[in-house]
Amino acid sequence: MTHTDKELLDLFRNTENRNYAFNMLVRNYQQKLYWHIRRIVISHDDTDDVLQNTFIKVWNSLEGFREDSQLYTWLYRIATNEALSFLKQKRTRFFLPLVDVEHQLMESLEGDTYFSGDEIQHQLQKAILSLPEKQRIVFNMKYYEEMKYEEMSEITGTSVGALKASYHHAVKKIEDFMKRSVFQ
Amino acid sequence: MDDLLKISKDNPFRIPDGYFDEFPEKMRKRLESGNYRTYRWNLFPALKPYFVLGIATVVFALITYTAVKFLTVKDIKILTTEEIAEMFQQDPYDIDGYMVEELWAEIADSVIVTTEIGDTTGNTTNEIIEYLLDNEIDDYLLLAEL
Repeated sequence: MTHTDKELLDLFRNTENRNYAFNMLVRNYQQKLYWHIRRIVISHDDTDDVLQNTFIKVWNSLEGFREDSQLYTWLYRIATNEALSFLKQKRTRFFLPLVDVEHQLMESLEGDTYFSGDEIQHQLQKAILSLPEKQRIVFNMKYYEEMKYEEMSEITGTSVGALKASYHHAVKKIEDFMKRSVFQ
Repeated sequence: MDDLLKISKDNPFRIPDGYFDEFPEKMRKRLESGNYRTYRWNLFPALKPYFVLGIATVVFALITYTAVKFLTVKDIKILTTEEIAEMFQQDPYDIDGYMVEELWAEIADSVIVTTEIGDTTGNTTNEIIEYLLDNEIDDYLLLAEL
């Protein structure tokens, strides 16, 4: 039985149906949120941790959700913030920012049993990882998830114009990277 | 954009079998267990870089201080004759006969000795020492004269 987001919210606010509503919410959004997070943190195990933390935060905050945005964009915002917090924690784990986290993520692609792309895909992922964090997220949302700029604006809190510019620059950088490494 | 379009959008990432089937149950169990505090306020990670920098600064200062202290040439105090004599009298270094002989040898080399035993010309240091020993001349008196 499928429910709309509004119905799930109403069910959740009823204490008797809370667990059922939350379970349905997880089933409806786990894949979309998983892949969104996975493209940011790369590793499956890290993604699993971040996804769990995301849904825990949803469980704690859903009752106070004011519905001033769509549930879908609200969930994405939480997942994005959790992924970025995870990367930030990874940076501060070291004494000094001598270790480039993005370089570590690139290296984690090498020999990763849960990465099955060919050489071109490998280089593409490295190109995407070379982008600044937020630009990387914008690129992934537009290129892979084919989101509308208005939805991305709700998720990131950035204007549509800035997002379009960011995506345009991201594409340019990736193409330059690919030309140097693959399309020569 | 043309080059990017040449690349397939197929997802290169994989997941363990059955992951999405099991995930809702995993979430349910975690929430039921009450183990869902995701944020532990921990100041240490944020302060860790400053803490380490502080320790490094202290260690560097200690190393620098120690190196400067040991490498600095100390002033050599030149003792007067009276101070030397006083030292012998106090005998803080447990001076033995051999040390005294060496001291006589140094003195003999630097002082022209005129004695009643004759012309100093041709007298060797060893002869002077032997003379002093044979005549059991007191070390401290000798130094006092000097």
